[in-house]
Amino acid sequence: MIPKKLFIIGFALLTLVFSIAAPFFPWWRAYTSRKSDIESGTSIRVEYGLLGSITASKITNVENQSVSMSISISELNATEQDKNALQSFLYNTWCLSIAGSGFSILTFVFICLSIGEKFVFLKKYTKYLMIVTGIIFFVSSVYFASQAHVLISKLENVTPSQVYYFSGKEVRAFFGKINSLIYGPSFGWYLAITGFLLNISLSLLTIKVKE
Amino acid sequence: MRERTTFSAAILSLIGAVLIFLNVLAIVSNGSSIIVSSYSVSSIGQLLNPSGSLWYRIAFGVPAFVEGPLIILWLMLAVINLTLSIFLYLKPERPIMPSFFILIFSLCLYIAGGGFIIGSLLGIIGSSLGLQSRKDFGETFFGKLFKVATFDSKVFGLIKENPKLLREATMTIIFITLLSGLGCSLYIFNANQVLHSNPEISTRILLHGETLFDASVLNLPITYIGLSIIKWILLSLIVFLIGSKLLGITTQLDAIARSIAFAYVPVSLQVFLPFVFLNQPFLTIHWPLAVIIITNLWMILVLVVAIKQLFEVTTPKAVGIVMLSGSIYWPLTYKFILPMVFTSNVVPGVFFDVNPNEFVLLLISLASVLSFILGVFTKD
Repeated sequence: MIPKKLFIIGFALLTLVFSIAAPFFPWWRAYTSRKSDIESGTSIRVEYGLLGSITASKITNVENQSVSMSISISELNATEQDKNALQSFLYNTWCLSIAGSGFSILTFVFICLSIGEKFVFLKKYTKYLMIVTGIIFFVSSVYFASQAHVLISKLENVTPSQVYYFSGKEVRAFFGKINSLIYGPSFGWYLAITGFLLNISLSLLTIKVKE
Repeated sequence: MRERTTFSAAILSLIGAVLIFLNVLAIVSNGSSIIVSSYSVSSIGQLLNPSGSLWYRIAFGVPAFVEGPLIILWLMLAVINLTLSIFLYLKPERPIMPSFFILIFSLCLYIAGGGFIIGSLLGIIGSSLGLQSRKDFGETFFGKLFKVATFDSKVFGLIKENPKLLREATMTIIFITLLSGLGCSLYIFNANQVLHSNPEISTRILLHGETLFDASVLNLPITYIGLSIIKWILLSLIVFLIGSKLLGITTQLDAIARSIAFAYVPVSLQVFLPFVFLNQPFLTIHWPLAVIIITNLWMILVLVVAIKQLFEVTTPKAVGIVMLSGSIYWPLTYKFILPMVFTSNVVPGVFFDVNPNEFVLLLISLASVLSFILGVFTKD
């Protein structure tokens, strides 16, 4: 049987991986449904990262028609004001999630140190640190969910024009579907939610399970 | 030994929870259910016309339930399930509460792919062991089923010696019938929709990875409980008559019935029938036939182990007894009882029928001769 302490470290490591990965994955996406992919033979996907990068791809059965590209928000069709608003919003979310990642690293270090007899006093701070980390991730997810669709809806075309035309006005909620196109949060946003849940779980486990 | 039950419960639940978590992460990344198919197809026509090459699809997650905001729910349940499994591992002395919730969540998370199906299955088995952690591993319900399926002869010794297990044996028959009945019924319902509905429905099932459900699907497993009990008693009676009256072995009918009920365990795996859908002709012939043959052959092998333990005979003789019993049981059930119950030509469920009747008689003759060679009619 694996010792309890080692198990907690393993779980903390998993939490750390999710927390660190969250800011680096895309947070918003629009993609064609499976039904549309099969019927039209074309698959479209666009993803927004927190650092303002947009990756878009169109994969089609027709030869030489497939496109894959990466652009920045400044290259999209919209007024400068709207693009700046979106850029700064993504940057704010990035800062929040990076803060969450930083706290997560600190939590992991505290957990590792508190195992040794020399730093046992760190234990009581660790559980608070975990809760704070969880809350930061929760706040960043909620902040993103409340504003993303509002700012994206101001764009004239959500996708790069070489890939597809998808008017921002069509984006009316955080989760949604227009004809064959589904839009909503991407993997990074879900990782942040997972980071929040794992940090809270970790704090509960360390409180409930004592060696 | 009891620690072993809790440890097994925790390990199985933990592996299940990790698989469920990974499955949900894959859904999160994909934005919809995970559909694995052998090769891409652009139209349903390619699949419905019998062609040479095999095509299959396996869907992890019910498409309508793993899209949009519902993904957050599955993610939350998967993380809570993982936390509870870790809690069960780290706090084995208090297994009831986490086990109960792991059971509920593992069942619910079937909708989200069930940890590539295996995860939920492990979660259900692990949490059930956790709920029965006051017993030794072999005494728990799933512990017995596991030992039976892995040909552990000792468990049949315990079943033989314990008359109180008759109630559990009946429960096992009902449980197995519900699982196999549900699997077969769901598969037949969807296969019928693929073959006889409009192309849109066929596309939804085969290409979009949906599994359609209707309340009528529940008819078969519920109505077949009675039939399964009759089949179980019939097989037990035949084995009892051969063992007790023909071979003169001192034995009790209830001991035989208990062991035979548990020997049906591999049949429950037919619940996995609707997880894979194929193109024609594999949809209606090869896949159901393969599952039926594998699960029934497995059951026959378990039955040999059970008979060997019950009658304390050699393996060849046990094989002979099973062969002889089967050659009486099979025609009685499938040539007399089922056609009598269902007056129409179509018997609901997934069966394989042997025709003509002269060929059935030839098989019975062959089984009788083989059982003679194996020493069934020789008294020790």
